[in-house]
Amino acid sequence: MQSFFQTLVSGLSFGAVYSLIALGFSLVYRTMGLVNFAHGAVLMTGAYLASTFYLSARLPFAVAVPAAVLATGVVGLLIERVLRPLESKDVDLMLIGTIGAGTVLEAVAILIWTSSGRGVPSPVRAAPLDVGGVRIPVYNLVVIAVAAVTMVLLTLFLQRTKRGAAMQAVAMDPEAATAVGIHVGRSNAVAFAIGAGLAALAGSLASPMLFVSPTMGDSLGIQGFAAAILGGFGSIPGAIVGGLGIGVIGSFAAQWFQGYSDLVTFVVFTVLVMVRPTGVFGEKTVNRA
Amino acid sequence: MSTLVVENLAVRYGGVSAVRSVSFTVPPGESVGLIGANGAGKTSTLRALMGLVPRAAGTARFGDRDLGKVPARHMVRLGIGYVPEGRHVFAGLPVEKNLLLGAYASKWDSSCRARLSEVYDLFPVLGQMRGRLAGALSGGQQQMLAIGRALMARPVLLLLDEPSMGLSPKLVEVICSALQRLRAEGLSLLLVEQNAMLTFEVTGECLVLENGSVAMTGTSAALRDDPRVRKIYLGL
Amino acid sequence: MIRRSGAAAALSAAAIAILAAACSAPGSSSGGSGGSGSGGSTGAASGPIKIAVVDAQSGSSSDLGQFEWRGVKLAVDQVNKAGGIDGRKIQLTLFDDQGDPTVGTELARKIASEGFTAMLGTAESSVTLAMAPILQAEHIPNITSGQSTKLLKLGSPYLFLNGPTGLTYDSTLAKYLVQTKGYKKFALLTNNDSYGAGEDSAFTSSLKSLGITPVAAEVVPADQTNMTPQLNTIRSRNPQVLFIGAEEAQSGLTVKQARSLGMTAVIAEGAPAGTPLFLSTAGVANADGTIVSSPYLGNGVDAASKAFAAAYTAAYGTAPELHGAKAYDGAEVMISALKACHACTGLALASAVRAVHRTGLLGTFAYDSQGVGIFSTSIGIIKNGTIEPVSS
Repeated sequence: MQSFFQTLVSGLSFGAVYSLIALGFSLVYRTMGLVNFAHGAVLMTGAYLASTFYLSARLPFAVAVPAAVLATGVVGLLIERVLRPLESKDVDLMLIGTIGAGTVLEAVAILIWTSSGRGVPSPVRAAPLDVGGVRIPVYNLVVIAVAAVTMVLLTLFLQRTKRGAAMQAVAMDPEAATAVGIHVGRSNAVAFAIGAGLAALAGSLASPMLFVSPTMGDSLGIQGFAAAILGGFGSIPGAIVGGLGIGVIGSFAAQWFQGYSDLVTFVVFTVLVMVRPTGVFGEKTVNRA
Repeated sequence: MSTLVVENLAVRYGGVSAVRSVSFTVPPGESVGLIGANGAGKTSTLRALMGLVPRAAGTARFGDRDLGKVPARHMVRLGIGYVPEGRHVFAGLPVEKNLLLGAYASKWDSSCRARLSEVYDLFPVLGQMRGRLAGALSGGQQQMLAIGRALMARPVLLLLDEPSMGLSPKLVEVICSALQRLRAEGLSLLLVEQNAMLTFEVTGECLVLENGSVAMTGTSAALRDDPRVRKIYLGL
Repeated sequence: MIRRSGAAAALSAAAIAILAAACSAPGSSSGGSGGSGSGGSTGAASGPIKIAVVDAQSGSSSDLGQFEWRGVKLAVDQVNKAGGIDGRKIQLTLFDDQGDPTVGTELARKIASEGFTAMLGTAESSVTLAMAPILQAEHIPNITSGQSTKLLKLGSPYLFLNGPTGLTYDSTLAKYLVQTKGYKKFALLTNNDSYGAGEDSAFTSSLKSLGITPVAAEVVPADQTNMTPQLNTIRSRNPQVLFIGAEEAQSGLTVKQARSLGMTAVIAEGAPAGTPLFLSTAGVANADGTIVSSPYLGNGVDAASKAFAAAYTAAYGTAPELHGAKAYDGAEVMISALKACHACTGLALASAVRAVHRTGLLGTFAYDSQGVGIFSTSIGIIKNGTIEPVSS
């Protein structure tokens, strides 16, 4: 029983990270109708920036992470600006553009930081909590808390603010949005930047739990993407459910199937998606006018 | 108060001319209709005015502003509202959010709330459905929503593209009354329609477009009695 | 009618171009002057001696590839400065195998067709295994840093190891832990690539031969960065020793995550635990007390390693580690062989390598018929971020 809870706790911590990644995917998809294939590389960029601020510049972790999120948001703005001419012509071309952007980010990361990768020590010194034999590293709780707060803030932004509503309107009908005075390009830029910031936050939070390397975005990105699909692509609560789901499934799969854990996770994912293709919170795919 | 002056407007898609040369004016407080069959160039005229498609030739001025230099998203600031063909409501957002977004260009404050009440007054059914997702509304309700959304920015000139399309005669009546009421309140209308009867009831002047050119112009009253118009467009 | 925009086409072409440029193709970067030698087993009697260095220069094991290249280059630069071999300089060409056996086989054919005399590398047994049959058919001797016993099973007279086999690392380690320290409860955590699988079988069989059966044995995918599920299972069995069979970074992560779960078991590992990357990934505090089995315990262990470290640091600005030392030794062995047989090639060169007797950084080389030259390792313990030999 203790082992069950231990595995569950571990799965939830990583699930929180996957939720943030899924959130970024979903936001960009919901507002731009675009699946951003650079998301994993952006995550990696955020993780490298945060670890550089934390380790080399010796900023406190709580400062390094927001700084990395902001810096990566700017990178997101740059990518959107470069790809913008493709957006109004053909979303599929923009999608291919994001693949290219991701490759460029990876190459630049190797140039700056080499391919060795680096470990990031946990910023929380406290000993793990012991709850009935179940060891919970304190940092994992911090990650879950930060992810939860972020999701609440994002939901409030989308539901309660003018810009948030505008962002969603642009995804549903860019021409009608233009007619009411919304700057579609700027709205997409902000959406993309927020998506990038979320990826950077996920990567930064994950780095003490994992390993920062130029390829870290690949597997994390895929897990996050699967989480977004599982929860319902474009749905915010879906991203949360999907992320936690993938995290927990992956944790138990690793426990029981060891070396085949990735395979099992994706078999389970495939079955769930076949049963319910639109995901748990099944939103219809966003149509671009 | 601004007059809309359109001179020799031409619109081309690739090598095909959709609009060859169209000229008209809409003085403040007046209403003008553009009628014609499918493909006559009516919708292209409106979209070119809004800046959603490029003009191949001609000019359009609103007051002293050259509309050719105004990006589409700034039209609303000039007081030009747009109700697109096919409604184009924000399907995934609730009715009230749709309306509020109509006022995107200004603050969402008490004056905005007041405007919202006015729209609910004009279209009571929208008030009843204010929390429903716009995509769940019927065609007629969505049309009211699209018009209401455009009204939220307090336009002085409203461009409408085939508002009666796909609506039952009863609903067309509702739209017709609403437009007449707006006219009475001083709003200028530029109405593009296939439904000639509706157009004659709502506008003072009309242009008949055929194959991208103006085939006939005149007051709505005169055109309604014209035998050619009666035969082709009214089936009488 | 579909509107095509010049901008769209240009931008997508740019994206594709960037994609192509950013992807590395198996390419070569040369480390010396030009001059083409002729192929064939007799080789050219003049002109530079061409040696190929093949290692991962991209991808996840590229740092290993970097260390190896530097070690080889140091040795070759030293001998070239002293006049070369019979007045002929050694010309090194570096090839990137991307850690991929398929790329390795393409490179093996390339090396054969371009008249290389010998090959140094790779650091990955799986790539070396793939290349060995081609090199054997083309009569090109290869000194590799791989340590898998599968290499020996090939039975190629052209293949040599520059260090002990994995089995040696593990048998020495097991003996120390069981017989000297008296530990009885062991757990293993290994990954599923050829290195990890080799470690799993080698350490398990070493333990068995000492009468010990492990209380837990978990396998993780080689690219997994979260080992906590497996560590949970291991923790519940209360082992005294946790043996890790994985590359540097994954091993370091395992230690870090084990400690964050509150595990106090002694960590024991082969060569990867003796590297700076392991230490920085695990964290100095967490790595304290780790038992390392390695033929190269550090840069300050004796006069030879001190001299090597000084020269390496002067040339590259960073301190060397195990892989650099192994590659340096391997290059030195090849150089000795070439000197002894006056820059011969093919089977003659292979025999010359086998006949080499020299003391290098890793120990005394004396090659047997299977291509193994070193038969023991040392045991060290990590204290405060440095490895000290254990007093046994």
